[in-house]
Amino acid sequence: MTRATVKAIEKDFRNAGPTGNKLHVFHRSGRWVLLKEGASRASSIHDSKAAAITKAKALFDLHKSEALVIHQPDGSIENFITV
Amino acid sequence: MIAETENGNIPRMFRIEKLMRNSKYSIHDISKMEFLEPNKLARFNMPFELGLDFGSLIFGIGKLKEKNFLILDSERHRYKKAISDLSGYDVEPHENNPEIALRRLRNWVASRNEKIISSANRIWQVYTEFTGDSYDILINKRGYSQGEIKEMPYSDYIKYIQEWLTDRPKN
Repeated sequence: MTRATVKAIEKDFRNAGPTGNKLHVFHRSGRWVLLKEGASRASSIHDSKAAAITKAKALFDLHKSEALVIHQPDGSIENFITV
Repeated sequence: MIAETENGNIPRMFRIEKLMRNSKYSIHDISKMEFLEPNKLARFNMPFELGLDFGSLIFGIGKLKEKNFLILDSERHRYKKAISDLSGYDVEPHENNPEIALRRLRNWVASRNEKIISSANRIWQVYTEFTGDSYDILINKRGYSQGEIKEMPYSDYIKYIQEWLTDRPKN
């Protein structure tokens, strides 16, 4: 990978935080949490992953989110859904 | 202690030694000290590095003698079957659960830091935001494959986290 490519990727990462507008479904203490990026509190908390994803899809358009990110229990990405 | 270093020109043990000498805090996770397959030897790099680092408390001079240690394992008393010499030291169990490991680590750092640091819950939220952005940038925008991300050098991963955090609003 060229130095220019590395610098470009680093810039992408540097700009990603403040501009993020995604919905996340992730595991937390045995339950599944729906979180809008940048929010300090969860939008909703569910007993099952399926219920959290159903709720997330319902809110997807409402929040005008750019993507819905479904996480594995270890925090890695299982699915990344865009409009 | 993070023993993931990448410069291939320098033998691994020297890189680890440098980390040990320069680290005020030492964090060792010995949970992977287990058999990967029946009749195969377990990996013992982690307990070896823990022992080497622990030596700084006994043989080190100056700041090396004042290092803080956090030892993590999957179960609270599992280590006693293999490293009974650690009896009497704090070994925190994380049950092979990343969230619990994060909580143990956060609380340990908080107890040794005068600044108030974010809750484990908040740190986990920020981590999920990072992994989402990371996936979007590397796979959707830069054409990486899942395999490439899994094989990404640890030093690159740390660099991307640092860049991502640079201008991030604090809340």
